[in-house]
Amino acid sequence: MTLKVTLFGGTGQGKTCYTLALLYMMATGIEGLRIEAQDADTATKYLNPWRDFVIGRKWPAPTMGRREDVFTLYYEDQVITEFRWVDYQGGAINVPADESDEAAQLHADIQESNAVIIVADAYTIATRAAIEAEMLTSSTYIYNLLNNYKFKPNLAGEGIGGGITIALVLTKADALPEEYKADNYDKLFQKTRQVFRGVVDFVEKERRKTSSLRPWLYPSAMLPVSIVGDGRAQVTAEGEGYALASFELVAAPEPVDVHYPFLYAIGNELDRTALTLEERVDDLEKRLEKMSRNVLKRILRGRSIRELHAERQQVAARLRELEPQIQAVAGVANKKMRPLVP
Amino acid sequence: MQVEAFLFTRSQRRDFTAFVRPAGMSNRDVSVIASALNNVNDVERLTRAFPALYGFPLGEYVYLLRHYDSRRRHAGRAISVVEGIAVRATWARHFALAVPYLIAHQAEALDIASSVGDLELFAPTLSAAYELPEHAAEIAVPDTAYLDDFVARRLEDRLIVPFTSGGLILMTGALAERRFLSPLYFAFGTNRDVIAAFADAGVSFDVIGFVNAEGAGFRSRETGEKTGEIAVPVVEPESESAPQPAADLTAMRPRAVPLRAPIPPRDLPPAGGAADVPESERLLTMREARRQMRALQPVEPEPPRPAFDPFAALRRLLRLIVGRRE
Ligand SMILES: Nc1nc2c(ncn2[C@@H]2O[C@H](COP(=O)(O)OP(=O)(O)OP(=O)(O)O)[C@@H](O)[C@H]2O)c(=O)[nH]1
Ligand SMILES: [Mg+2]
Repeated sequence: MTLKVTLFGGTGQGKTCYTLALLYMMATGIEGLRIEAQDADTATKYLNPWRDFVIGRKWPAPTMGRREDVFTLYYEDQVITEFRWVDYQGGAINVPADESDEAAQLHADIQESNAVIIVADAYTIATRAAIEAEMLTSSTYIYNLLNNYKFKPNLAGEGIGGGITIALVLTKADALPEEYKADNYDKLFQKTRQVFRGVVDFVEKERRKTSSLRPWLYPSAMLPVSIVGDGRAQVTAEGEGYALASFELVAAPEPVDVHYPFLYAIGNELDRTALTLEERVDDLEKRLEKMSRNVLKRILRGRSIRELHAERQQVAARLRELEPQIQAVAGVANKKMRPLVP
Repeated sequence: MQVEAFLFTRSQRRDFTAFVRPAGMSNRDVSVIASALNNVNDVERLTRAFPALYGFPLGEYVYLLRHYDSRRRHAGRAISVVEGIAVRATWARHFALAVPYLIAHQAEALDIASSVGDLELFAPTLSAAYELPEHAAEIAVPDTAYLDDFVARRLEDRLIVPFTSGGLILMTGALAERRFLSPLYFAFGTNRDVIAAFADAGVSFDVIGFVNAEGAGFRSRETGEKTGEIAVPVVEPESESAPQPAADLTAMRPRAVPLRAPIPPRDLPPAGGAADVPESERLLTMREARRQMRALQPVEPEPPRPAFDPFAALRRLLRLIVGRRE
């Protein structure tokens, strides 16, 4: 099984930093979960800039183009899933697809993604006017893309597979003014919901249709994270106009909470797989029940009944195998993440 | 020789964009170059005076590009510039002859950025084709033995040089050598990840100047193993045009930055980040939500099963046999 996770967000929001920190943190393992790159060269490609960051105190260069790599997520040495991770230059969001290969790729990636991780700069959200923060985080463009490729039921498909997991990563949380950190980041969440109201409204509207499963097919949550840790970076220039604030690392970095949004995305997509399997079991059971009620069919279709039984057992076995993995991944993350829609 | 210009960089308003590009250059070609050079993390090492240099064919063109730190910043990060010229592939041999001269005069020949004025105001355009006078250049290398060697082993081996003036002389000497049957392609001031990314796009190089290579020599194309050594010419540092000695991480002394203000103690949420939510607020997975929904919905009574009528089955069987439909 391969899940596709696309990371996107406006330029300078912290996608590359987040990726480097996440892969570093997960390379050694957290709570039994571990990420391995497909090969050693891929691993060094991500670890080298991380080393330059930790030792050289040098932020990674702004991304040019796009980078895609395949990783494997393990739980206690069991393969949970492969996933494809894509990091973009932020500008890919706001240029037309015919003007840039990255933009065209981004559209295709979102369409194909099981989960998206939206990266938005919490410091910008907190310190700039909401309407400016919308532009700088590209929240309107993000909504536009998701709406086009994932929210419209005719495009995404009505089935269980039609939804998508949305994890909103609020980066640079270390630098937030105190009032935005108070009450477990309450003020930050309020302003974020305002800045990302397109996405929030969509999920909220779906939630109101309580009778259907559809709203639950869009698990969406957010979390403030930092790749440096509180007080370890200082603002050297405040943001103004198109310019974002600049930071300087003043102490060795200690990433905080970076793994949860990732685990949330993977965990909920594993859960979607399990949901599909459960539906299949239900369906098989119904068919079996119908068949065995009907004596004639029981006589004529003895063989296909046996086949259905075998399939049900197989699916059930796969579900049993998935269960502890989902527990390990989503169990951890769903406790930490905060709902996009309160 | 007809050439077209290429300028790839970013402004505050616009993320990395081909501000100027040859008419026949596709978005895909732009992306290949950008994504490959994205693997250079320490752009600050590459300066306008001593930039990284690349010569390679891609799509309809052969490119001669330089890559350096613009000294402009975005969110505190160094913005790089990739710029230079390109010729249609039909001009490849002419171009190859001109490359050593163009490299020696890179400061003017590859400077596209200064012709566009204020980037914040500049809208991306296609380059007009313009005539470039063809100059060949002789490069005086102190010892030509390595050229004889390279001519003989080019198919098996690559020439590896350090990213220094001496390395540049060795490389340019090879580029000026007329005995090669086809043009040499090169990447100077680069690293393994860049080379691998170009290779994925089908671009391979004959001469490579690694930023962290110490000496010069030959390496097998196949295994990457060292197959020969070459003495690097010693160049008297001509003020600023000579680059710093290879500053890989082992040589780099981490900058000790004094804390401007002591880190104030703060009541961190548990584990230094967001606190766990209480169990009642834990986010539900899709299936948990469904279970909850189902539990809340009134259970519809199952429709009563029809009583088993053995004769009905017999009647249906009979109908099947006589072939009548209901
Ligand atoms: N204080 C603080 N600053 C951060 C953190 N993460 C990122 N930054 C700052 O944000 C800048 C941009 O981060 P990147 O990860 O390069 O941003 P990006 O989203 O990849 O940007 P593009 O590649 O241009 O699309 C960094 O250079 C840092 O200055 C963080 O956790 N804390
Ligand atoms: Mg980036």
